Amino acid sequence: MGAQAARLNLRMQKELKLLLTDPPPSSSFPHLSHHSSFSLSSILAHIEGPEDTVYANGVFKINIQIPERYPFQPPIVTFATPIYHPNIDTGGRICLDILNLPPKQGAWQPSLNISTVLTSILLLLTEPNPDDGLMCEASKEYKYNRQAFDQKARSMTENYARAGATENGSCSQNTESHLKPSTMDAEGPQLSRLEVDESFGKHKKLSPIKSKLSLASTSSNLKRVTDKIAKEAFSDDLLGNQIEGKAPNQQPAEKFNSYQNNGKLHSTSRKLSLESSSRNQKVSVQCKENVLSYQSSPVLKPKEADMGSTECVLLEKDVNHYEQQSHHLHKSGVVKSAGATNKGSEKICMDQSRVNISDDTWPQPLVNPPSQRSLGPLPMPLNTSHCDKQPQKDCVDKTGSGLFSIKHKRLGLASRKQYLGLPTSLQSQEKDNKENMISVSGVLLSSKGSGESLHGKIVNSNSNVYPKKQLGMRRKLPLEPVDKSNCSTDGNIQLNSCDDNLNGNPSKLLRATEESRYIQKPMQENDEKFTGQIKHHSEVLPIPDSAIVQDSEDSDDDKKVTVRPKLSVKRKRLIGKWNAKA
Amino acid sequence: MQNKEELPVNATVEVVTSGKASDVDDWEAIKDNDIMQQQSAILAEEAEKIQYVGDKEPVSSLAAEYQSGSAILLEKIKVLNEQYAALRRTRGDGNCFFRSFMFSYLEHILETQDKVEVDRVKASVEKCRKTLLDLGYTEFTFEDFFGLFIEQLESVLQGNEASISQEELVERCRDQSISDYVVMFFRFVTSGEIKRRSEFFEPFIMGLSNATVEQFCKSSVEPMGEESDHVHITALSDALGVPIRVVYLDRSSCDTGGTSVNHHDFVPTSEGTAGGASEAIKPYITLLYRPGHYDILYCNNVFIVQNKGASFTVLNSLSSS
Repeated sequence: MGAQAARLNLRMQKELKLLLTDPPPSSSFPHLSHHSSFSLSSILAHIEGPEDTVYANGVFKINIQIPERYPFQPPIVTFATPIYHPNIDTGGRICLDILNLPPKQGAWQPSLNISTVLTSILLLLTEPNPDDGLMCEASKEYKYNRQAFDQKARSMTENYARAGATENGSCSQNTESHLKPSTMDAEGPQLSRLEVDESFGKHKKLSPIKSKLSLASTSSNLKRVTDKIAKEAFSDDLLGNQIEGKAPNQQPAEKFNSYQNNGKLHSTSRKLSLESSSRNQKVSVQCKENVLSYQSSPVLKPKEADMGSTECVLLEKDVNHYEQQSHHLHKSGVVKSAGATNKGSEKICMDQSRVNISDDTWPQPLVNPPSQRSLGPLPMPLNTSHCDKQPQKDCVDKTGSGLFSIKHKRLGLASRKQYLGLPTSLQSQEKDNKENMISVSGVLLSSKGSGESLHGKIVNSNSNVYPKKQLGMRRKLPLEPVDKSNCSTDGNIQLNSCDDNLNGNPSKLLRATEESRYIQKPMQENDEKFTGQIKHHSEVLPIPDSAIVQDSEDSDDDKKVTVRPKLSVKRKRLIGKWNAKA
Repeated sequence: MQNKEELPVNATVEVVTSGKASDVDDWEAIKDNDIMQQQSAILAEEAEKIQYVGDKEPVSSLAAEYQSGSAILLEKIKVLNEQYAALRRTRGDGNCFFRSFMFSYLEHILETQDKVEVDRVKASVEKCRKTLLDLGYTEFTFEDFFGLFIEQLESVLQGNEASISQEELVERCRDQSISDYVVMFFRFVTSGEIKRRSEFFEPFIMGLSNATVEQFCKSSVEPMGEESDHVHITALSDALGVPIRVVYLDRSSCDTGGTSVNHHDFVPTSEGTAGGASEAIKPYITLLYRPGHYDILYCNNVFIVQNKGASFTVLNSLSSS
């Protein structure tokens, strides 16, 4: 192999020499120099969109990876800049025959080289091949609705391939890439979902970061923000992060404070980030609700007893100290939401899933905004704040996309993650419609919540719905032993997964979401208007479950799975019931 | 993560469920591309059961593969066993012709130490290089392959530092990083020859694949793993000026009734050969063709001596090896 590596190196030296002395038309290689001593296995190319095409005036970044067996194997070439093209997907993969080996309709041959590959790509930009399209929508449009295609492609180019835009790192560009499609309406939600989904399927394991970022971006998407606004969001996140410190003060909950202190004691960047997310989320959800939730958790969830007790046990171990607390935080948050608002649980789910991701990806140096570089935990709050804010702002969009989502069962990680946001939006929609008694009651509760015991409050101060809901939940538990056992299993899994720190959360969350759904059932009885929306829920919610499961995939494949089948069973049953009622 | 050991129970849960997880995920993620990849992976796996270049074995060992097959084939194997001393299998990865040719030719040079032939071939290689340049190939895309072949050619000639033994030649031909490069060299040479004489090859190619010469070279000559046909063999033989005999082991039977194994000699056109006609007529490279595959055949010593007139000492060493 040594000989081969040497030969590859020799070849690459020649390739680079050619690229530098006689570059393909409108291509440049910012990181290459004649004396580059670093690895030749990866090359970054900038190519200008050909004149007289929809890509004109754009500068597209292209990553070229040289495999070990090059030139017997073709280079791996991907677009790092989002581009709307029938043969280039949102992950940047290019459908071009010379990039594949012959057995599968490829046409790579060792007599080709990087220069010829880039030339071919330029040609592909000039003349897309919609008959062999990678992107279904774009291909169709290119063939049958050229105007729409041109418009989208131009706006993509305008937004992401401007000369300035290329200054950003690839991460942010990925964000943009997922942002992109839905910023254009028409079938915006559809597109974005599908595309994001695809790209995630592919990059699921490779780049959790991407997915994380894209999540944030998609939500901002829905706000129909351009990337400029997205940048503002960055600063928002920064703000959110700073606020974080103050957040505990706003919260009368002593427990929380103590957690926080502990967290600080054991603080590592990861832990901090974890905590910050949970805090952030709480801040956004509303501090007072948090208070409630802490108090309520034992009350509302007798069946969580086992979990709670283990937690106590765990608390005694110093090793796990912090993690448990973060768990605790989350859990209580979940409990709260289950008891009070669905919104809360959904949000927490999102947060936690993101926490998982970020935890995994943490070591990777990412992000470009200089302000973020210094701050470890930042990326997470970023997402949190995104997601927290948006659902409330633009519900209609999300609802629409949420509904769409159901049609695509094979959604990948990303799209699932997106769904996480959807229920929230649905709920906020409910709120808007003033049909969501829960949230109202939650607010009421929280307003009074600080001093009194939760229990009393619930009974006394709430609108009818709330207690009923709660009752419904309680009532239900005994009624459905199977579900209960499922839940307890989940609980066990959670306990087990404590060892993985973050991994346990998703299952917990799952359960929480499940429960939040149960809660809705009785509600339904109260308010017929709900039916329609609950239907939405019944359709939409199942996906968040799997989404949560999927989210932690990176860190912990196995445990999720145990949860998944059960959930699906539950889910079906639930849907069935709801439908019957409706 | 670090607490994992503390919860061994959990570990078992993971083990039990992990299989399921991958199943589900796989099915969700499967794409056409994956299926194709798997298919080619299976083929590759099958192919890897045989070395790029195998060990010498008696021709009769072929019979085992056809025990339940055609009687004609078994008859032919018997005939082959009489005519040929040994067989050396090559991997059926689509490069078998080129690989067989590589080993057979280099082994021939190693045994004959025919410096005249080496010089002649070098001149031919130089011509091929010019051909490719004329055709517009970028030099660096093929010069490494050319260089490696010349390197092998020189190393089989004894008497210099880089000289290698027959065992080492076998090793090298089994080493992917060398073997594939030389195969690729032959592909370049073949492609260049076909393109250079496209008007000659065009009718054959049209009959073969209904593609243009350019397309044919692009899709069936230059890519690794693409099987070779008459066109390839003719072109390579012509380009390097090396005669090749291909013996056909198929089910065709002779009209005369008696079983005989037919063969075809690819004799380079005079243009490519610097040597005399007598040398060109009797191929010293003999390949066994079974539909879809080429292996290396070794002639009986007597047969060679009679027809080739090479030095006896070398031949003796051959038979002992």
